[in-house]
Amino acid sequence: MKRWQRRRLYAAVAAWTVTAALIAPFLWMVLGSFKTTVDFLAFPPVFVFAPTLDNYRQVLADNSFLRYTLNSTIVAAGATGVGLLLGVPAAYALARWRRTAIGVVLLMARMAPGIAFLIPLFVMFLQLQLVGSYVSLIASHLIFTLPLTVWMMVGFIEAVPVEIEKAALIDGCSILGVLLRIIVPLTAQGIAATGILAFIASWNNFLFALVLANDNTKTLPVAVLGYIGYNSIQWGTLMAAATFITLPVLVLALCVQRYIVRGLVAGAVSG
Amino acid sequence: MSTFVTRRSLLAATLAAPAIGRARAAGFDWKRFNGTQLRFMVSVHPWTEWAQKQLPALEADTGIKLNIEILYEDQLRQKLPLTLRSDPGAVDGFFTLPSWDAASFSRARWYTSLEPLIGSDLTAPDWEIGDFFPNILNIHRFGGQLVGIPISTEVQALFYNKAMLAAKGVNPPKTLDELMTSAKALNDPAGNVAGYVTRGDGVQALYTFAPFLFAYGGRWLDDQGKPELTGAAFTNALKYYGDVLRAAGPPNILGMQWKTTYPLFQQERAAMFQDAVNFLAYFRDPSQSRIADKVAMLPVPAGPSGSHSTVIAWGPAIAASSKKKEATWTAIQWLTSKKNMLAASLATTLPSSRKSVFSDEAYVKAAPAGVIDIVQGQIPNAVPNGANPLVVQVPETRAAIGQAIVAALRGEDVAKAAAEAQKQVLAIING
Amino acid sequence: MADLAAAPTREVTTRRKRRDWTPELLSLPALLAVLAVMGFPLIYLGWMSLNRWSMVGFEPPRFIGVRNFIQLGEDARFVEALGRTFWFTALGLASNLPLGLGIALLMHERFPGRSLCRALLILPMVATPAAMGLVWVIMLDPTLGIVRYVLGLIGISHPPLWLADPDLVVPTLVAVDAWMWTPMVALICIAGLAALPSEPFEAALVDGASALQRFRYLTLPMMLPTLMVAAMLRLMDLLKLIDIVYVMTGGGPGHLSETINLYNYLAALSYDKIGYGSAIALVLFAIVMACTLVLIWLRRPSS
Repeated sequence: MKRWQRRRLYAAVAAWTVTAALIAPFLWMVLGSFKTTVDFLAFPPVFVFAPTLDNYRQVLADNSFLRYTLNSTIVAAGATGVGLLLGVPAAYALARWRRTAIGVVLLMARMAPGIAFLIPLFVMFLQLQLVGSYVSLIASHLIFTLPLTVWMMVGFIEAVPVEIEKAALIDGCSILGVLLRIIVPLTAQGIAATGILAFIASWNNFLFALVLANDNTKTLPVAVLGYIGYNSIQWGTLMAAATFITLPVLVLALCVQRYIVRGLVAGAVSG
Repeated sequence: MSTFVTRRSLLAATLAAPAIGRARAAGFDWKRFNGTQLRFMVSVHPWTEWAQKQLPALEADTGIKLNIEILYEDQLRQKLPLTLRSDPGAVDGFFTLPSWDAASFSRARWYTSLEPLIGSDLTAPDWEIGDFFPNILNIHRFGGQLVGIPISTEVQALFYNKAMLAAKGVNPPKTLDELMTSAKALNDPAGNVAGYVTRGDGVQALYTFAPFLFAYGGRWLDDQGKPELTGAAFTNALKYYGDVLRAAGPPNILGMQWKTTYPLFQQERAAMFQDAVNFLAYFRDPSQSRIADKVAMLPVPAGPSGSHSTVIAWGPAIAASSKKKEATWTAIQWLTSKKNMLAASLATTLPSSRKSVFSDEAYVKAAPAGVIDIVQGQIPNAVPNGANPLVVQVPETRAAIGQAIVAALRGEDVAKAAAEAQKQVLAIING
Repeated sequence: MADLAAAPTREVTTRRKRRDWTPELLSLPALLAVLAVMGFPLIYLGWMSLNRWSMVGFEPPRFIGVRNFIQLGEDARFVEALGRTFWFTALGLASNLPLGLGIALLMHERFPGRSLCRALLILPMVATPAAMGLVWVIMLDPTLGIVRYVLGLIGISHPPLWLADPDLVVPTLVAVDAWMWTPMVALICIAGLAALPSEPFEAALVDGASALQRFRYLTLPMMLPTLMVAAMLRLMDLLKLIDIVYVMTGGGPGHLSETINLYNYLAALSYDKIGYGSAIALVLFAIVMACTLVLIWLRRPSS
């Protein structure tokens, strides 16, 4: 075998081993979602077993679970949407004018221990009669989606040549027009990647919903904890619920995976 | 025969401390509060899950629209105080565990005393408070007031695997000494099997440690409400707990929470298991357990001072800030009536707090074998609310005492650990 | 000083230079949002930390000045949690960064299925931490877990006690956290590697440099900025670690895996010491800020 072929072989073996090790726990979870509890907890672990769809049936039959999915979607979409709406202009300002004030403020926002704000936020929303509403959840999620959005979009915006914008301005276009007609279309992939990362962060967050949501607005991660009963854990059902929660964001993430990386690096290097 | 009742007199009845002996109405009007909307905040529990399914029936019988919000237990403990304090009137009823809540909620005046309601004509004549076990009802009494209605009787038991004990010729242990010897005999590290397993997580272990404390004649607090952790009883109990689990428990007992102890027993990786009787339902479920037909129960092992389980009970309570107390009481009594408590026990297999349920043929037949005996046998000697010291700052106290249990499990000096726990708990109570 | 030549501003026709407020206007909505959901709560948090406040009951908060902070200094549990959090962070950085770079170097090679591999790397990042934490607890169980089984296959019959071992509980949690976030470091490094110029490497090959020499004198120095970026992101998250600790050990056994953020959470929401918990949160915030600023300062000369 030639030397470069051997190198490829070693690389493939090593890379696939690492990848397999990384996704193994996830596969174990998915496998477990088709097992009964007694099989899931069995030792030696059971790889050949009679699969059951009961867990999924139970999860989906639970009407609340579909409602929680809707809640998670609304909150995550809201937090992402508002994050993008507010963050893209701010990122533009940071990228083009280099006034670092906003950058510093947002970086500090990322540094704060989010849950430290739980009680002030709870009290604040209580005064505004918003506890248990989508608004309170979306607003609290902005604590992490906004910094993330600005962080990533700065890099994508910097990749756009300034000349295009200057030309547009000379032609009499307003700054807002520049944003909407030039920046947004040219950074569409970046926006998608940023949006999806923000969506995932919001989707997976559970400590905020634990305090700020009520039964109507409960999100999925909190619902998963609900499968921990008073004195039992329905492992099979919990695994099914957990798989169910991860799938949508997984699909989304896989779609734009390339751009996520670009954004993470670009945003960070300039930020 | 019906007496004319004004809203004001109802309110007076609620706020006055002693029970008012009003004449009971002949035909009880369940629909008196037709159309009221109520909100309960409860935690995950087989009873609350059952209750949620009864809501249509409740509305049909009383016209009350009840919204039951079921939260994860930690979540309830965070949200309920925040809500009761900052949003009075938002919650009409809530699920309470007096061993944990009674001291703090009483101080905060968040409970409504139930005796005036029970004695008034707001209570159906056949609801019969006398049907509740007196000592169970006492669990929900604090400061001389009845604050909630207990909906089950939770005692602890020593579970064991009949087949595994028979295989090694070991007799089911009744005393602490017997437990130590049989646990060691059943322990088989090479075969990946533990002799005995119970909670090893500091904070959670107080619950399963309590029977050992009582077995040695100890108690959490003295008559002045100060911790009694430097006595011989506590130190001996600590030493025993540490010794038995280190000698015969699973290798990873340190920090083990109930969510990983009971699977070991269910999968036949432990011969004996000690915790709440409620676990029996899952041990008997063939889809979740390998030991459905092999599990049996004994009362908690007896020490020099006998065998004393803890007995605790969750139950619905009425928020003091609720503006619909009477309607809330109607909903609660409907859920805790004789008929419905029987239905609840049949559905959840939980041992009831009502005597009539225990003697009902349907329940006796449906109850998992052994439950009735183990509960009724231990109630007379059980320590009400004995799961932890009855102080205001329960979580912090549990953490402090938990450290001593963890020290015992690590084989450290128990006297020193006990002294440290005593010091910390005093600081918490006084601080 | 703002780089006005690069900014797409209109030509300034008047003599007096007027400050261009455009950037501030653009960032105003974002700043207002941050002020609302973070600024105001932060001030409230600061005020709460100067008070003694219990949620049980209707007593108003009692002003006690800086006594909470003084008490923190005497609180052994706080000091230990602080040290432990630094230990967590150090272990995390020491494992995430080299592993991430290593995986990136691996994924830089050309081999069949490379893009699929890269795509699959996201999986651990995307899984819900709450659920995955529980899965890990069962997998690591020394009696029932699959990890024990796998170790048994390679001849280790007495597995480590992982979360039950006082010495291993922190490294185990770091490992689970690494499983979740090293892929992110790897992805960042993959992009960084792809952006490196190829000439120096070609020249080095021509000069006969070995792979190790190329790595040490070319790759590593050139990747330093990228690694700094990854380090900063991971630093901020590691110092604030709470999710998996809460779900997997609750801080246990005892307090042996308790991080500062977890103590903050417990003090405020469990022990009902809102003021004290707020003080802890402020201290944590200050620490994260300080550490991040140190990293940023370290970055300056090399960029």
